[in-house]
Amino acid sequence: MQTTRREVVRVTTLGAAAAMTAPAAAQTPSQARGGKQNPRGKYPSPPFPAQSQPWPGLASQMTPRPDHGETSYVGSGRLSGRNALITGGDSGMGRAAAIAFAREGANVAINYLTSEESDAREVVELIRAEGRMVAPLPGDLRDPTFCRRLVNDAVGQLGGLDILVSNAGRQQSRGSIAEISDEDFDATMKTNVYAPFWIIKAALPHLQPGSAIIATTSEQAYDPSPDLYDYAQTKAATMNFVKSLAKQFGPKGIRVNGVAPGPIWTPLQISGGASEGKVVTFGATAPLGRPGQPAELAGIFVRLAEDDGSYTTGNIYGAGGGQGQP
Amino acid sequence: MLKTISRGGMGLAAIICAAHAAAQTPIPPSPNDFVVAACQSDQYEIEAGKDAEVQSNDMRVRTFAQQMIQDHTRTIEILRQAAMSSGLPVPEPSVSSDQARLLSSLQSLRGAEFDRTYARQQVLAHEQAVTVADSFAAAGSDANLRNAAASALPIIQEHLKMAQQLRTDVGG
Repeated sequence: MQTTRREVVRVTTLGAAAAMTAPAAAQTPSQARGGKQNPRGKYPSPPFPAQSQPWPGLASQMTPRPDHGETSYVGSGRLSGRNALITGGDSGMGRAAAIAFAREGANVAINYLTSEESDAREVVELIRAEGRMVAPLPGDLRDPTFCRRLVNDAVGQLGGLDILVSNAGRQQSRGSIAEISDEDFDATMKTNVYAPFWIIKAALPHLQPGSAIIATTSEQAYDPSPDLYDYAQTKAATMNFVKSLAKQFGPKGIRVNGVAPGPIWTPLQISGGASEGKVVTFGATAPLGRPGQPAELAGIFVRLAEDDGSYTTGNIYGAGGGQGQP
Repeated sequence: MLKTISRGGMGLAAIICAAHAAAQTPIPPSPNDFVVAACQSDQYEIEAGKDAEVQSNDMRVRTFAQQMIQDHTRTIEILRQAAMSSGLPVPEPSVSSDQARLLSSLQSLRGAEFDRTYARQQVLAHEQAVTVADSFAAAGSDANLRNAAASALPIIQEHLKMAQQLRTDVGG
């Protein structure tokens, strides 16, 4: 199995033409615990084939396909009896969290844009395969009315809500502030800052003590790239509201934490989040020599949601590949 | 020999077919973005080459680096001239923040470790430069710059081959 994985990685790094591969071959569930691997070779390294999709993009059409833990994540009841709503649950880290949560025993509602339906279908099937309840709830988070309906529908279909993962994001690379239109800026703000406000506010009456809120921030909150002026500040805002809400909700027994990834291989990057050149070398700047895969963050979301993490609130957990943040 | 993915449906063959069929060709950058990206790429090559001249003891690496400095000094000038002719701002010498990180990681290395890292970076940087030049040469919206991209492309492709050879020679 180790040899197979190395072979997969070597094929990928041989260049564009050769770099079509399934997600890195996973061990069977019974072999997925313990041991260690060189993290550098565990998943594909750049160069990646030049590619682009219209926003928001599909994971199923990326080359190589991201690994969200479909074949590797093994649960052990850490979230049994829990009900989770995950925005951006069709792909990327939201998908990895959805799969992990279901395998840990939770029921899961996922929100996504309607153009991401085909990715979302795959996630729905994976959750059903665990025998968990799943609520697919597509819609555009830039609309406050939809955000409130989203929470109501999640509560109604799952029978309750005690984990909220505010993860959906909009990221578009623009070389200069001069190239960002009012609509562009507004779309990023609405998706990344307003929607979390509307959703958390709508969810609060339903969250009993012991509930957990997890927001996706980014290394960009601490060390912004010059071409992500709008996106990066929304991630700083997210990191900040994790701390203010943790203080506000501490007395209610509701924990609030954030996840700050480094460069992760998701549709965000190939649908305008990174420039076309950057896609080819994505993750090369990380000391581990490659981007992260969504599957590598699943365990963080589980950790922050589970009861065993009961003293962690107002904190940001990172998976940065060595770039130094948070 | 990869295990068939049992959960969630898609067999290996289906995934490869899907990936094959679906990755779209990149949209070329705007003329201004192209000028900035290409100039930064050239500047990075010049600076990394200068680092290699000082920090590498391997003749193959130093020879390669000297070629990079020479060629990229030429291509950046061609690009600057084309930008001026097209009425676009000529960028000051700069590198992207990613390239700055890569240069920084090079600067702390010596010996074989430097050589391997430099070779690996050179393959990646030229893969990226080929992508950018190719997409602009094919479909960029400024004729002057399309020509500049088209004339640089064979040089960059040759560099990529050289970089891949260097990487084989020194490892990395």
